Amino acid sequence: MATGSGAAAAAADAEEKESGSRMITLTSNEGKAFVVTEASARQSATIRSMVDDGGCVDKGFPLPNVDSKTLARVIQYCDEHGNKEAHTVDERAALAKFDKDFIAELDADKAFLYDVTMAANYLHIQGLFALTTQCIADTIKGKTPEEIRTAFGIEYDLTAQDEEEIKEEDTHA
Amino acid sequence: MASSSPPVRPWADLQHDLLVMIMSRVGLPDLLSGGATRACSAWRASARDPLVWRRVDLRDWAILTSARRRLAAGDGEAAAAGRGRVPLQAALCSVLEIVVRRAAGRMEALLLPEFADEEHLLFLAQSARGWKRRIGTKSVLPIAAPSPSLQITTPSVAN
Repeated sequence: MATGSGAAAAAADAEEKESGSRMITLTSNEGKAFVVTEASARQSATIRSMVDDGGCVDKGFPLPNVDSKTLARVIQYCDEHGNKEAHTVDERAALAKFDKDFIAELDADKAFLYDVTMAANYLHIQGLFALTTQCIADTIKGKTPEEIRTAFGIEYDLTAQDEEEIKEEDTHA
Repeated sequence: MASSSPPVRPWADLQHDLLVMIMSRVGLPDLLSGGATRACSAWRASARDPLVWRRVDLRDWAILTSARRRLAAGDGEAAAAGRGRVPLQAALCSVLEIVVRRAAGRMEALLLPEFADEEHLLFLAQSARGWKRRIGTKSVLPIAAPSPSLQITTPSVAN
C-alpha cells in the first residue's frame, strides 16, 4: 500500500518534470510563432486549462487577439514568473524588481499598456493583469476629469443628467 | 513601422467588467469625487458599480478629506468653502450615505474612522436591515453575491 502510493507519487513527479520541460508554441495574430516552456505558458490560466484538458499541445496555440509585439512582452513576463524560482528573499526581491521595471516601461507607453492589459485579460494571467490594472488605477488617482481625458485620450460624453447628478454630489457631499 | 494600429486606444470602450476591476484599485478618495467618476459615461458607470463599493475603508479620514478638497477646488467657490466647514460627524454621515447607496446591498466590509458614533452605526444598522429584507423576499442573489451579513468594524474593535 505504502509502496504503491509512493510509486504513484514518483510517477506523477516524473510526469510533472517531463511536462515542465515540454515546449509550447504560441502564435500571434500576425502568424509569428513563439516557443516557450510549459512553465512559462502555464502563467496563463487560459492556456493552462487547454493543456490540462489534453489540448493540441503539439500543434501549438494560435492567439488571434494578440499581436506579435504584445505577445513578446507578455511572454517576457511569463518567462520571468514561470521559469524562475521565487522561494528565497533574494529571488522574490529580483522578481519584484522585474515587475517594477516592467510596468514602468508600460506606464510610459499608454497604448502598449492597453494592449498588454487586454492580452493579460484574454489569457487570464492573473499577476500581469493585477500589475497593469493597478498601473492604470494609479494613473487615474488624484487627477481631475480633464487630466484623465488627456492622459487616456477619452472624449467627454457625459449627459445633461450626469452633469445634474454631479452637481448634486458636489453640494451634498 | 510594423505598428498598423492607431496610437490612441479606445480606453472609454473597455469592457465594463475590466473597468470595474480598474476602479476597484483606484481608492476611495478618487471614487468619491475624483476625475474617474467624471471623465466619460463608461468610466462613470463603472466607478459607480456596486462591485467597486463592496469593501470600503474610511479609517484614514484625513487623506479622504484632503483629496476631496483638492479635487473640489476647481468645482466652484461656494461648494468648496461650504465643504471645508462641514462638521466631522455630518461629513461622515454624507459619505456613508453615498457609500451605502453605491454598494446597493452588496457591501461586505466597512471600516469606520475613530470618531464614528452611535448615529452612524444606527444609520448602517438600518441600511443593513433593509438589504437583508430585500434579499430575503426576492430570494434572488447575484452569482457573485457576498454573504448578506455585514461586518461593521470600528478601529477600537479591529485593532
